[in-house]
Amino acid sequence: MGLLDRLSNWLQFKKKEARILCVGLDNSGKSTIINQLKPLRTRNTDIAPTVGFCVEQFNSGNLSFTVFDMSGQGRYRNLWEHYYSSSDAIIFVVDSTDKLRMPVAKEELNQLLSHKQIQQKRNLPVLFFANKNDLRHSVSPVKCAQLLGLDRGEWVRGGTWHICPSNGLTGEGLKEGLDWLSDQLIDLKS
Amino acid sequence: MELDLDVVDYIQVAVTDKKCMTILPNNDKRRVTQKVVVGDKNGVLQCFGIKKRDVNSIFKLLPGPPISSIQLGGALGTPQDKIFVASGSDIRGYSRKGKKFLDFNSNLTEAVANLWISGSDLIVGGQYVFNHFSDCVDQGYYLASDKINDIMCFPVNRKEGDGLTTVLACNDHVLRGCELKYEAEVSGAPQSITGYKGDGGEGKGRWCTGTGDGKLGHVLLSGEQPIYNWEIPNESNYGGVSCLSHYDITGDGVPELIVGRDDGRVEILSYDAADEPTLRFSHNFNESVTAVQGGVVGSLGFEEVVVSTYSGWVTGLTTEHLQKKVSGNFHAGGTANAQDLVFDEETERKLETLRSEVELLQQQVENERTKHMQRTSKAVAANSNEMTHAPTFHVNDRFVLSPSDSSYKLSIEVQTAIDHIVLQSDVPIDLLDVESTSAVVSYTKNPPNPDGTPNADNFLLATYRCQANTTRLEVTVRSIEGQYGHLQAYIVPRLQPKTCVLRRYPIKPLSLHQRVHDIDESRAMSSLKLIGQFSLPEVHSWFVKCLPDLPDRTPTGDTATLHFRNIFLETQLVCTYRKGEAQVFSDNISTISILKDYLSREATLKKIALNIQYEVNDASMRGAIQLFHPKLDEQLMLAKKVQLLDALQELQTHEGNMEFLAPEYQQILEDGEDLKIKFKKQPARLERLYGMVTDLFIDKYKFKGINVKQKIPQLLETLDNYDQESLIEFFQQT
Repeated sequence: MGLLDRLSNWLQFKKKEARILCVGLDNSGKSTIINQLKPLRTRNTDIAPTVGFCVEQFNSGNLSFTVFDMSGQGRYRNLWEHYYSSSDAIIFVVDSTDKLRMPVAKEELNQLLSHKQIQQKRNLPVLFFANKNDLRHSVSPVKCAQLLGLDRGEWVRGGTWHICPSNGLTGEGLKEGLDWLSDQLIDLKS
Repeated sequence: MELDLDVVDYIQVAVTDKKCMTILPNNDKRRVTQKVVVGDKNGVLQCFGIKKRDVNSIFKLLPGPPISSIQLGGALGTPQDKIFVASGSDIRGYSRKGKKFLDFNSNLTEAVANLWISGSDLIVGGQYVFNHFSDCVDQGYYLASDKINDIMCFPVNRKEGDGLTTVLACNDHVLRGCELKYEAEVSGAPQSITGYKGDGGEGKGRWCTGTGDGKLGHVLLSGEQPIYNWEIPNESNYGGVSCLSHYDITGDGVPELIVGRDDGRVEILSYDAADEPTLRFSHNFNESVTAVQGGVVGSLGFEEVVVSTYSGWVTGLTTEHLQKKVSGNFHAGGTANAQDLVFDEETERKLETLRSEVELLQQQVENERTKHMQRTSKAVAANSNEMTHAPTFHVNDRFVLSPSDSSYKLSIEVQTAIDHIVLQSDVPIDLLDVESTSAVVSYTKNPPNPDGTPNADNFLLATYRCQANTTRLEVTVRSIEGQYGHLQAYIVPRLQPKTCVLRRYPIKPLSLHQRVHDIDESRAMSSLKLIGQFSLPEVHSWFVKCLPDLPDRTPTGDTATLHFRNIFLETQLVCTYRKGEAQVFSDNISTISILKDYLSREATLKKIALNIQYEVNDASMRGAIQLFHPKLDEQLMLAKKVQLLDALQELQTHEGNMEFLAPEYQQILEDGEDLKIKFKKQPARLERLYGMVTDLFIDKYKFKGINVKQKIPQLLETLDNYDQESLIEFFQQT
């Protein structure tokens, strides 16, 4: 690493890059959340169910994110594993109003975490968004963590997780989540 | 759907009165949270908003006379955001920025207790009087016959040129439509009224009422007769309804009814398709609730209910999930990161500020205490009069008859924690356990007089020592009809220096009678007539001393008629009196006997010669026993069943199969738990009934001039082998 590189690194001129995989069941709000994170002029006005996947890019703090917005529909879920090896972090979006499919989300999470390529990566941070928290019948993030079995230490794997409530439509809660993710990524990279 | 609400504390002000908190409407175009206005007994009116969980004060005015009511108003058709405050006999108006624009003295002799604003019309209620001002000019005046508890006018969303009708909720169980069109009776003393679904049901004069004994009702006041839609009885014996409000908290387009109670319970009821209310949420604050309002206060997009309590806490019940973030490690799960789970940043910050505040205060108090010690010891040494000033504190107490278990409920509430309360009574009364109280009670045996003679003044001496941070104590007191006197409570809060406040509650001779409006006239009645040289106020004051639920003010007119019902036995009592003559009818001879004794005693004290005539109706005796019968029968059956229960249960454990038993025993086993609970709930009920039958027997013969004291054992024997016919026979012999 040259002197210039180090200087710019220290002054944080150059943005660090991070590759994020955004997964979750269908209709949990993945594309809406990612759309909300983009700068105002590049935002889409309407969001349709994703087919296959999409790649989006945006900046947050001193990180430049490249996000693979995966489709959550059942038949596309096997696509997820193709991107495991290349990602630095995972955003897992949960529809907090959908208690019925919470076990399905848990099962998908289980499969994700027990995947060989994920197992190889130590300290892969996972950020959970308990989305749609503005709805009256949404469950709290604490309850969400319980339903996903996060607090019981069921998952035998290193790495940290964080769950926060979010509202994909207004962008509430997204910043807090990404701040946590940036902190984790910077910690890992430096 | 269940509602799931989180509690957030906002600020604490001084002691608040009923209806002293409200939420300003949002007339700003921007999306901002609503502001809360609260006024307290120190006379401080303040308005605050919430920004990121921090209290953001908009204005706070200087202390003054205690604030008794806050209402919002404004020109008709505009947002109602002018704040009107009643304190003493003054009404003041403030803009939403805290600028005073109206200062008006209502010239009432009483303090203003209730207020209603509609455009430029100002409706003011004192204890008994009610006044209507229009643009500060007197328009009308009415003197109610009993205490006014609440005032409302309809139409609620009044337009220019609409007429205005006032409804008074009076203590004698009546809603009065003003200009006195009619009176509508409700089943308890109405404490609070509100327009049905917020606007009175499209301006049709529909009301929700909450009563002092905890019932909720819906009344339609229009046309000739009031129409009663539904009523929710108070089976679980919760506190009286102190405030009501409507707000759409579920966001389904239909407002919910929010109920605040004296015992700290806040309930949210929603209307189903048939407009019947169902309970959706309840929370207990453990101190009486003084106002409830709905609005968006804490954060945008989340509806909440703001509650103010007696000791001045303004608290929100919000639909927002408060615990925001949880993080952890997949490996360790919750255990290693337990601290992350317990406190989030906001809680940490709050703890930090509280800690520093407490430290600072501790130091200050320590300094002041040493100063005070020095000063008082000097004063003692110099033998001067200048000693400590006792700190004054406000006590919120209620002593109400609860019809569901025919006992009195005494509730005492202080702003700070209570250390202990001593109850002293000069009449025989029973104290019953209340499940919600955590206080430790100890009874003291009546100490004899210094000279060794037994002291007859203290039938009861009990001390309640409260657990830490209890501000409210509730005691159930059971009195016996005919035994009258006083119950005194010495209240000591946890203050330095310790001071005590004494409260006195009368236990009236006919303490189990409740005021009603109609009676069953077909019953056979015995009567008592008193003639003598007494005035109407005089005879009224005697009845006030004798019966609960009566206003001190003498009723207007020449003759007064009052109806009562005994809540334990359901016997009835009619009192008619005028100057120089009083007449009493009842189907219970004991009631008449008690009244006769008491009234003649009062008259003798005032040196008024009374001419007493009475007429005992034998049919009424039979009627009374018939009233006794189902209760006696039930209690005897219950006692018998409970007696058998243990033995049967032992059999059950041994045999396993109970099919060899007679069906009636199997039934007892099945209902076992219910029976036990029922038996526990009504201790000494049988003894109470026995006592009443015995009294009835003695009183009946007393009127005939016969002393039957020696026959009591015989009567008790008859009761032990109870049979209705043989009892009536026993009553009728001799």
